[in-house]
Amino acid sequence: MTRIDIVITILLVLCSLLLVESQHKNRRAYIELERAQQAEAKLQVQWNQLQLEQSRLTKTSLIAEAAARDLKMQGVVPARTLYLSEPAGVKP
Amino acid sequence: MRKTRVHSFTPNPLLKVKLPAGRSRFAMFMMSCAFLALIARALWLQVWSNDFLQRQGEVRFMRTVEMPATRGGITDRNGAILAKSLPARAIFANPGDAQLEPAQVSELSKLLGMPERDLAKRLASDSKTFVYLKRQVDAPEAEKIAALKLPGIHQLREYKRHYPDGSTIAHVVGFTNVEDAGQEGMELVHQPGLAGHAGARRVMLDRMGNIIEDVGTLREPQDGSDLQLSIDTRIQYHVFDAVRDAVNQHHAVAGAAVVLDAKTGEVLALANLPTYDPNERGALSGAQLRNRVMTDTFEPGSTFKPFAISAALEAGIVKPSSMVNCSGKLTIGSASIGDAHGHGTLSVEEVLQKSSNVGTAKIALQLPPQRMWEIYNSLGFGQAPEVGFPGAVAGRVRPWKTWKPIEQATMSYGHGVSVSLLQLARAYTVFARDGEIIPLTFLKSEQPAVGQRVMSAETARAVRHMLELAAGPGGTAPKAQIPGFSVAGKTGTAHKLDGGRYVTRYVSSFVGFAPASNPRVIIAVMIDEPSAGEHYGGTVAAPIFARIASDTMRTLRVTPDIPLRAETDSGAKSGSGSGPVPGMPPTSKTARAPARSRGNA
Repeated sequence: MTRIDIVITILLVLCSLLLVESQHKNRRAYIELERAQQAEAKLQVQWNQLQLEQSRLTKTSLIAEAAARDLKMQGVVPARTLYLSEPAGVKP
Repeated sequence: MRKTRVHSFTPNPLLKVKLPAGRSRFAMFMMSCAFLALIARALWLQVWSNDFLQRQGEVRFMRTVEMPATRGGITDRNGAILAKSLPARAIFANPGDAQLEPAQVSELSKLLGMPERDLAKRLASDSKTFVYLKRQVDAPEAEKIAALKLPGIHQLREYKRHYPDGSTIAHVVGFTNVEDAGQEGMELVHQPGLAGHAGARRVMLDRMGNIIEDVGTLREPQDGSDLQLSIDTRIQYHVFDAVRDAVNQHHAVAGAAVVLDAKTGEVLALANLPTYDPNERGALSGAQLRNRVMTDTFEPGSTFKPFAISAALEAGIVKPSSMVNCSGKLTIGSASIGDAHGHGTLSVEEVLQKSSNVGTAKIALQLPPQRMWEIYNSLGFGQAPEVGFPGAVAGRVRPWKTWKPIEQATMSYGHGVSVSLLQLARAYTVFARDGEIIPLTFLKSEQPAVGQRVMSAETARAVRHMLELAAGPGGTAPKAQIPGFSVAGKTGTAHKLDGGRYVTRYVSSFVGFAPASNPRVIIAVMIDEPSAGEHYGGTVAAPIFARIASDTMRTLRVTPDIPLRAETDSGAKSGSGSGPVPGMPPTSKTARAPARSRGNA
């Protein structure tokens, strides 16, 4: 076996080991990615839940009830509203 | 050196005997053959016939993983959520494996919210290998159940639809079944767009069950697209509240109301009573599910009068100031038509203002039946409205060739025809939009609707003025008035038909719009069988219209179009105002507003 053969063989073995190593790293990274994606999906579900919760809590009926009961507020009627006219020449 | 080394390993003198060369070669040959056979077998298994091993490898390491897709949400025009799907779990058991202790059964039954006996019964069905214990279990409860690690109890991923506005908007939004497929309302109509398509991918697992490699995507998942409705939940709340209060107050069988945007044709609110909670669909009845605005037809009564009168005006047969003798009864053949209250000679304007059956019939009888039918047809009566909603009915307007004179007369004041509340509301767009009728939609639309001209703007404006008079102090519905805004509309009180005969049960209705000077919304109200003493449209339905119109004007921030002095007084009388009442300084807009019929209030 010539010297060059020995060098090439060693290189081949080294490359094979590195290939195995990088494959292993790739798989570990992929597992991490999967976990991150699962966490993202979970957060998305939570986001949807919170949006739903917000919709439930901001229902007009709940707000109207709370405003009248707790804050003693009354509905706006034109009879108790002061309407201001815009100065001439000013566009909204 | 070599010799010494050999000898050092073979102290036995027998081995020093040299083998014959032939035997040595033979042994070498046999061993080579054996190796070759092994190599050939390895090549055969791994190169040429590798299916079996590949398959076995895949069985151990490859999996097809479903990529779930979520059903699209439904929102109102302002983005408030009306329907949304969240992950849930279906809990199922394999009764053969589920050998649970009594304590475990008790704990599971508590978490599932079902009686212990029912649960034990399901788990005892030995003949089955799969039994649903409960579906649509919310994720937190499902996690608690999973944490118990009960043998033979498993979970499947699914979705549960949530409706935060519940019964208020149930008839428009509809609902889905346990498979997350639309069953009613917009959920059903827009099923193809709302439904997502689950995807799938092939992955490689390690021995711990972790996904280590994505081999390929079989199908891309596709989430359902969101749907934005034209409904405004703020207006919807007011409409629903008003109808519910009226149904309770008048001990009515049912009630319904619809609010349309006169500019865009959008349905801003649609309420039905009785209703149901789409979150709790255990025991639904047909009466609860019925969307009366769209699927129920009724004889509209006087709310139908403006159409015959507008046809006569359009044909040039009468003018608003033409006089009609409305006294007594109008006899056609063996039948006679009368008014609840006697009238003398009235102008055409007053015929509508006072809602005279005799006057309307006399005007209508001057029209050729075909002309009258054509106007009904062009207003969409007798045809199912194309609003993209399941079960929208056509109502009934018979072909003009079969009309007898008495039928033409009764039809003019809304008997002998049947319409849905939505058709009626839509038909009133011609008066609100100077003679154009517009298509309706349940989806948000920023564009002004493109109308179709049915009558001249002059005729439409004349009828609008009459409707304003009808909703004024001298009309049939002064209770339709609201502070700050001019309103126009028509009452309807019709006997119900039972087995082909009119009975003393009524449908009270009111259709109108506000502000009358520049209509922003069209509101139609119907109360079925009010039975607490009152049954006239002017006393039952008109106040509901007023309440809805007032709340809608405020919600849409419409500027008042009439001075408020008279209303301030009435506000003070009713005691609704507390503290000083500022009234309204005349703005440039209100100063320009024409003096309306309310001026003489």
